[in-house]
This record gives sequence, C-alpha cells and structure tokens, in this order.
Amino acid sequence: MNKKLHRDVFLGIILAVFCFVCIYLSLQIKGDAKVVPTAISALMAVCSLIIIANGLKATPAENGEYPYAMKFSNSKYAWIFMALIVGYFFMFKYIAYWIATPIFLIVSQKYLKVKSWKVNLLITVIYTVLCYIMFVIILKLPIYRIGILGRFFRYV
Amino acid sequence: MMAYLGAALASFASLEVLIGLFVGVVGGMIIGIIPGLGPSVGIALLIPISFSMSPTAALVMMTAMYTTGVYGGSITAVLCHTPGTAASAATTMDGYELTKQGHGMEAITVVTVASVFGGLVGAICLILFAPILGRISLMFSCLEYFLVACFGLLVVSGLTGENKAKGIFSALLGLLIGCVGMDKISGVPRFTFGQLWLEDGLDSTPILIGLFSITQVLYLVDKLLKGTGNTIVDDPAAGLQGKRWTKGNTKKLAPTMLRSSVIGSFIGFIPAAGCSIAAWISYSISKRISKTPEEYGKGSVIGIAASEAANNAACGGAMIPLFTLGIPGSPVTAILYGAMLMHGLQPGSSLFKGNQAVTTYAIFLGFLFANLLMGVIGVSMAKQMAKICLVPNSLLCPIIVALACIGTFALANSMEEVVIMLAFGVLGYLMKIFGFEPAPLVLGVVLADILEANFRRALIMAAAKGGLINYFFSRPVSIIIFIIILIFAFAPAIVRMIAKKVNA
Repeated sequence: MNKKLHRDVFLGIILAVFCFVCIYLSLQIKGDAKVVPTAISALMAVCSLIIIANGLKATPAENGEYPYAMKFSNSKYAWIFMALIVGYFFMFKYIAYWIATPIFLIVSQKYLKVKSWKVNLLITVIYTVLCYIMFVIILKLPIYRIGILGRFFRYV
Repeated sequence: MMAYLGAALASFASLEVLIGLFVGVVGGMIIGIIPGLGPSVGIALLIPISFSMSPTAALVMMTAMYTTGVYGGSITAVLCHTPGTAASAATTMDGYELTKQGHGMEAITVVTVASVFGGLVGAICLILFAPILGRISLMFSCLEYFLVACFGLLVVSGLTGENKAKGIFSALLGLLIGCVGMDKISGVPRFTFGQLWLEDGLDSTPILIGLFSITQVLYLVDKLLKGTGNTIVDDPAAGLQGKRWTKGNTKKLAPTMLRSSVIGSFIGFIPAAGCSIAAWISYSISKRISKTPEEYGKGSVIGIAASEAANNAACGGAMIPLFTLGIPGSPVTAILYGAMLMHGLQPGSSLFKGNQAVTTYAIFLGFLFANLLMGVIGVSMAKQMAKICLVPNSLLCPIIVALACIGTFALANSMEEVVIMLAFGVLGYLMKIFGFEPAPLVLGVVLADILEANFRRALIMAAAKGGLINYFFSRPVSIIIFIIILIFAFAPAIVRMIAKKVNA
C-alpha cells in the first residue's frame, strides 16, 4: 500500500466500485421497486467519494505513518478464530450441533490458551448439557433436523 | 375505573396469578439474555402452557415476559456487548463501555432502574390513558409512519461517530440491506439473486447479533492473543469495585428517564415503530440536548438510562393499540393478540366494560408489578451478574459464539440466518478496522421497511387525494410530527447561534 496516501482513499475507491455495482443492480429491478434502492446506492456513491476526498486531505503523522487504531494485517488472530467459527458452522450444518459444539469449544479454548484440560472439558460439558436442556428439552427446538447425525440427539 | 382497579388488585390474591407473574418475570429475563431469542419466542412458548390457566394468570405471565425479555437483552448488551434483542442495541453503546471501566455493577443497576422506571411509566399510560391513546393511534396511517421513520433516520446524525461520511454510508448501507427481498408494494424481488430464502428479506436480529456479538468476540480474541487483555474489564482487580449507584445519579438521571419514558410510550403506541426505534430515538435526543454530548459512547450513565427507559416504556405503549383497537404493531403483540383471543378476550371497547374490565385491568396491573419484581431481582442480582465481566475471554468467547449460533438458528429454525449472522460478524469486524460505526447500519436495517413501504403507500393514497402536499395538509398528526422533526433537526444549530450571539 502506498504509504503516502491514507487508506481511506483506497477504501473509498473500493466502496465506490461497490456502489456502482449496486446502482447497476438496482437499475435492473423492474418497475417502481427500483427507485429507492437506486437512490440509496447513488447516495452511498456520493458518501464514498467524500470518503476518498477526506482521505486525500488527511496528512501523515509526524513519524511518517498514519496512526491507524486497527489494521487488517495486524488482526491475524481474529481471522484465524473466524476460520474456526466457519469450520464450526460447517460441522453444525453437516454433522450435528451437539457434536460440532463440544469440538469447537475444546479446540477454540485451546487456541485461546486455556491451559487446563480439566477446565476446558468442564466448561464444554456444562455448556453442552445446559444448552441441550434449554433448547431441546424446554424450547423443543427442531435442531435434530440439522446434520447427518442430528436425529440421534432428538429428545422424545 | 377505580372500582375495576380495586377488583383487579384482588385477583392478585390468587396463587395462580402470582406464579404466572413470577414465571413470566424470571422466564423473560432468561430468554432475553440468550442472543436471538426474545420475548416473542418466550411468549409463543407460553401459549400451550397457558391453555389451562385463567385469562388473567395467562396474560399476566405473557405481558410480564414481554417487558422482562427486553430488560434481559440489555444485561448481556451491557456485560458482553451482546444485545439479546434489537431493543437493547442502543444500550450497548454506553453500557459496555461503563462495564469495561470496572463499573459493571453500576451499569446493571442503571439499566435496571431505568427499565423499571420506563416500564412503570408505560404501565401507568396503559392503565390511565389506554382508551384515549388508542383513539389517537387510529389517526396514524402510512404518511405518519413514514414521518416517524424519517425522525428515526435523523437519529443517525447522533450516531455517526467522528467520520460523518462513514456514518452516513453505514446508515445508507443499512437501508439498502433493508431493501433486500420481495418488494412489499409490487412483489418484485430485489437483490435476491434467485435465492428463495432471500425473498422474505433479511431479519434485523441475525444482523444485530453478527455486528455486535461476533465482531466483539473477534476483537476480544485479537486482544487476548496479543496479550493486551484477558477479561472484558480493563482492570480485573477493580472489576467489581465500582458502586451500585453513584451519589447524584438519581438527580442526574431522573429528567432523562422521565423524558425517555414519555418518548418510549409515545413511540410504542405507534403500530410498527417498536422498542428498538424508541430506544435509538430517545438515546439520540438525549445526546443532542446534553451539555456534554462527548461523554456519550464512552460509558455515560445518562445514555444508558435514555435507551433503557424508552425501550421498556415502549412495551407498555405497544399494548395500547392492541387492547383498545386490536392492532398488533409488532411480532410480540401479534402473539399476545392470538393469546388474548384464545382466552376469550376480544380487543376493543368491550375489554373496558363490565366483567372483562376487571381482567383487563388485572393484566395491566400485572404488567406494572412485573416491572417492580424485575427491578427487585435485577438490583439484588447486579453483583452476581457483573461477575461475568471477570470471566476470562478465553472461556467467554467460544461460549458466546456457540450461543449466538444456536440462538440465531432458533429465530426461524434456519441455517441461512446463521450464515447472515456470521457474514455480518465479518462485516462488523471490517467496519471496526476501517472506522465505521455499526449502530447507523442497524438503525438503517430496522427503519428501511417502515420507511420505504409507507412512503410508497402514502404516495398512492396522496394520488387519490390531489397530491402529496394536499394530503399532507389534510392530516394534522403529520403536520405535528413534521414540526417535531424540524425542531429536532434545527434546534441545536439555532441554540448554538443564539449562544454565540449572547457570548459576543
């Protein structure tokens, strides 16, 4: 990334492209239903241009870099955890919530540096049991329909 | 009316009614705490249980669950940045910040006191003015709904953060997201890309859970693994040292709570407006007229009181058109409507006459007592609840994710809702990185439906009555709302100009 320009300039360009795609898609809608989405998309495009202009006006801090509170590249732990969550979602969808959840809890607690296996397993078991009582036994949530093994956890 | 109230009070001597009240209050708090599940799910679950109960006990239980469900959602909003319901999202702004500073107990107490205050004002409006306010709510049609939504949009100006362009972009994106799905007027699909599950549009709750809970989890995980914070509070040693109630809070919060309760009750009785819009509008008004607006979003107790008093007052307000006119303005009141019919209570003027009036006023009194009981439980449990902020993030984050997933699934028994929640979690985190506020986006999504559909309906109705201007001037309520909007929009600038002249 060009360090002479504030990142809002690049962000604004991406947003402007997104807005023009939205305007194009809005114009494809039939009849009066397109008016409001088109108007909103156009206003968003104006905002993105203002974001670009504000970015161009911004000046680097004295040390030669912009003092960003958070950076995309500095958030790798968050993105790894998000990948864990996505993995959990797929296990939930294709296997079963009651299998996916204990696995997710154990793995994510390990990732988050819970050293004691005892605490890890205790939290996992307590959460899963309480959740089962709450959602399956009391609330009768049809979660057994989800995943190939879901039916084994049906409460009769 | 006093005779009916006396007879209604006597019905609380029944054990069945008292048990109903207790179950409603505790059940509502529990169901509200779980992200995704709100009072609507809780009340729907109570319907089969209430078959064999008397109408008074059944409806007392359900209305108690309504108000405490909204309150329960605020507890997690304050402690874990996870609003249980959309109505509690505004409370997150200051409540969580206050908790982070080690004042979790105070945050919970302010939430409780403001909720009880708002709930009581809502209940008093319900008891004293239900028939009159019911008639006023009949004067609202699409043009008035549209103007109320415009008023809600003005709120965005107070939520944009430092970068106005990004804040407005965020609100517009929310409005655009609200356009996804089948157009309400013409039935044309918009931005559905051939996906059937998108035709109903995107519900605001998964969006809210994603933007607030998942985003915050990602932020906490990043902080934890970088070694800059293992708990929600900045200083765990001082996590529970703050007082329940700081001296001077009563004097400081009383005007805000009163104003917000009145706003909440008013917005509540407008069908389709609801608790979340009431909370946002009240929060924004409070910020606008505050002498220290810079404190908002940084743990202001006044900010917490403003949104909390309004969302609970709105619950009482929402029941006015339900009981007087049979107009359910929200999913929760629609379920209550069904429950009333099931128990032989036909909404309308007949509910306020004869034997049925005793049942009606007993339900209203039950709503009032539910708020009081909620306050007692809330204040006495504040310290225990605040201990959540001392739980290590390494244990809390995975549980929030698992709970958010099952709670979101439970909304419509659909995995698509979970996908939406996770997608907005990622979007929320990107917004955090690039300095966008999530609050305007949420408000945009909530308002989109009311705004567009009612504007277009108003245009259709206006066409038959000689144009929009003629139609507007034929509706006194529209004119009043429009004047309020103008005052809200321009008053701060005028006050600043006057102050400048006075100082000069």
